[in-house]
Amino acid sequence: MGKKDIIARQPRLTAYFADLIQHKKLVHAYLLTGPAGSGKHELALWVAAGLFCQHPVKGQPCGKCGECQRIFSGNHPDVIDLLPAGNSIKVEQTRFLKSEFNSSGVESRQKIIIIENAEKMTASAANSLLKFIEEPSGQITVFLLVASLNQLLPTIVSRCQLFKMQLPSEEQRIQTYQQEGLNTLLAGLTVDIQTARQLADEKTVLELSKRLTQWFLKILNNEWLALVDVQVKFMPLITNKDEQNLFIQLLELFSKDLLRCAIGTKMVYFQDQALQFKQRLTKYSLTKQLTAVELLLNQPRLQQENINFQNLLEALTLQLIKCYHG
Amino acid sequence: MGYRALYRVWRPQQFTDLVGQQLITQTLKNAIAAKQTSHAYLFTGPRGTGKTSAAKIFAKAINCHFQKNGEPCNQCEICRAITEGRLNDVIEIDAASNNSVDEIRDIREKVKYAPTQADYKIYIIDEVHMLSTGAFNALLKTLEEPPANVIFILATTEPYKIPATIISRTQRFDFHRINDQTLIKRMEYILKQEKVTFDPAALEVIAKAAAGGMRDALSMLDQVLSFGNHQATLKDALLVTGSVAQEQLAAYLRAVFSQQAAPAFQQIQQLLADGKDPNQLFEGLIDYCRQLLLQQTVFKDQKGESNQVLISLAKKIPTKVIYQALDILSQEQQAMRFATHQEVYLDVATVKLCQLKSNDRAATTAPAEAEITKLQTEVMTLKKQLDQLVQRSKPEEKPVHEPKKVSVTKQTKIQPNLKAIYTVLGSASRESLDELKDVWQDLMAKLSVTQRAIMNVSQPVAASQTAAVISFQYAFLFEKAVENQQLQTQLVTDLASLLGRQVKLTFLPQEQWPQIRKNYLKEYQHNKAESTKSVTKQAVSAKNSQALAAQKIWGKDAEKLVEFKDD
Repeated sequence: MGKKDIIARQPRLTAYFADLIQHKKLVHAYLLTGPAGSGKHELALWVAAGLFCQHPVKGQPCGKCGECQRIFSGNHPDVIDLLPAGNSIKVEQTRFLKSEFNSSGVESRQKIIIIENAEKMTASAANSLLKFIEEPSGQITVFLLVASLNQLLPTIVSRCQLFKMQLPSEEQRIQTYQQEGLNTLLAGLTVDIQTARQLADEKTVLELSKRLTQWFLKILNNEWLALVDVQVKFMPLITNKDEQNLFIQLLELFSKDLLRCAIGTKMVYFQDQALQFKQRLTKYSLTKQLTAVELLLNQPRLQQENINFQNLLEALTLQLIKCYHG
Repeated sequence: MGYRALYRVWRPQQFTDLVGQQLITQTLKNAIAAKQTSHAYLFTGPRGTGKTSAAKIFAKAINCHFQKNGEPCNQCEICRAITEGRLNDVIEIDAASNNSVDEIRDIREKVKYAPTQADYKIYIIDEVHMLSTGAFNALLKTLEEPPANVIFILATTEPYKIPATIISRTQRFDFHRINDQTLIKRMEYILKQEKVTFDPAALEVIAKAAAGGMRDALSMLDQVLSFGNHQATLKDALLVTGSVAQEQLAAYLRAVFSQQAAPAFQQIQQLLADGKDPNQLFEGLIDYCRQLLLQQTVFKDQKGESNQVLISLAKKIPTKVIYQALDILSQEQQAMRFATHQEVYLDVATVKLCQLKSNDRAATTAPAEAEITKLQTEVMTLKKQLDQLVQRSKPEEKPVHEPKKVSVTKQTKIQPNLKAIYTVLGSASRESLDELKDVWQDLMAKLSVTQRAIMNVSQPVAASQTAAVISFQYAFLFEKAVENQQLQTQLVTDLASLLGRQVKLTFLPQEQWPQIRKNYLKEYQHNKAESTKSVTKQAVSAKNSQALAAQKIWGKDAEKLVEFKDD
């Protein structure tokens, strides 16, 4: 399961780890970073399989033997997966880990611990892990998987070897998504094609993006109905924090396209109305277009500051109209 | 036992190995040698600076019977037992997982018993900032006056979380970030001991990325070694730390400072495709700007070092521009923190940086240049007027044949006034165009409905301080506008009221614009090559015979276009 896939997606890292496994030079703690769907968990499992596999080929797991199968199906007693319980990883869970750290493996001496979403550790959980991650006893390798490094304690980071997952470039992603018949916009939202399909099925994203472009065209046409759009068109679709984040992401992608338009390259994510935007935007000076882009790019920060989302969008509408039409 | 990370293998075992903290190690050594140790110490400082190591060495040194000048011998039974962590009298407590009052009560109980093997019973409480308030307070009395032969060492990265009452009962030592040179020296030492070949530049990159933490540095070094098959190369170091090579930064900055947006964007795309983090790119750029400033101010007179690129760049870019660039970079970096698509902010910064230079050049080097072009254009217009006067005195000639079409689309009856356009292009600037674009909507609003119908599809494409080129999307509207004297007068007066200065307008259909601009650029380069010759001659004797023919034949129309500006 996913074995070939991970080698294709992370050729550099799999080759590197295979080499380490072969020469038995795995250190005690690794930190893998990359957005959701970049294959962190698969890589960790792959390394575990490489360690336990009965017939490894140059450090690579065969994927067929009992050990490999148990690991890939998540049934191996010496490969421990730690998931956040609810919203965070709590101290009780790390206490459990600690006992695992201190005991040797069930079937062999080797042990692998995978901590998923490690950034969700509570402060005390992270701190209680510090001493164990620094000098674990016995043959233990810990994999910490995080989406973004900023949210992790620096003291944890300095105890691990840090690896960034390889990601397909924007163009590659857009290409594969187009081949799959998915909207290019989704390529900006996720690197995981599975998630992309899901988003495409849900329709919210595409609907939101359509409404977003309509709203912006109204702003460019100096139609004040754009202000009403926030209440009527956006808010019904944006009901929770996740959808807010999604919309903010759409705004970021949109500003990326606007910037592309301003410097005279093609729009990528919002291709449908690209021509209409181009026609309207060439009227404005580069400075003005840049100011508008910056207004849009200011929104992530404002959202983090817990400003009411509707207020935020309405203020943005007014600011944009003022920016474009004085 | 499997492979052990470098930082575990090379954990310092005596005070002299603990680099970068001379002040602290010397104090501790003297205290031990003079037997004037305190009963409680607090070690604070950022990660990887040697707090826990210092605590362990201290425990050894004070218990070692063969210590010399405060250094442990690392040979005797007690020293070895402590190194291996099996001496019962040195108790290392992880305060983060044992943070409740109960655990502290347990310590209080056991403190009373005398040490079994060693002379001193030592409690090393690591990550002490995680103790609960109750636990801290329970510790207070014990910490103030512990039984004889008991020493507490508290270690933490976050001293501000420790109650003042605890701090006042301890001797506090602040561990500092280890500077790059010390980190490099230590890494060199380790690599030599491990018999590994290395590139000094690689160590520099690692030291910079480690930001003063020895453990960070050694972790990364470890990674570099395993990547590079037991060799420390610069390429692997850049890969592991995610830092950006100086040459790439220099290339990017050179591109933006010479306003070449395209190569700058390419550079960024390349770096991002290599898996560099936007944040680290910003860090790198800011650091490079800092180096430029230093080069300009502090090391100005120093002998030429190896980095010629830096020096040449520092000579070329005005200090003011670097300051502005730093402002832009740090501002975008700040805004970026909250976003998911951080690369957009890099793009914005790039556009802004490209604009920056243009402003500056206009302000500093432009005057003389502008003066020259102004004079040149004046000569050109005078000459043209003279031509026209001569032409007018002759009986009007009818064109024998139609001029060749410039573009493939429908033929236009009226040709744009090329001379006037070239004049504008000669002194055109981005700011003027931006300014004009900013007021263009307002200008449209001032027109009557019929006039607006003509002008609605128009937009300024080039502008100087005194003149502008307006392009029309459709050729017939262009003709209408050229023929409409009233509209032209209206536009000029309205523009004057909006901008506060007279701006002459020249029209052209949009389809011809790319061709005209191309021709102009060709001629401009030609002009530059033979700059000694007068501009007028150049313009007339331009090799573009099409344009020339058009001018000759349609001189009358051209005259019309010029004339309206005079009233």
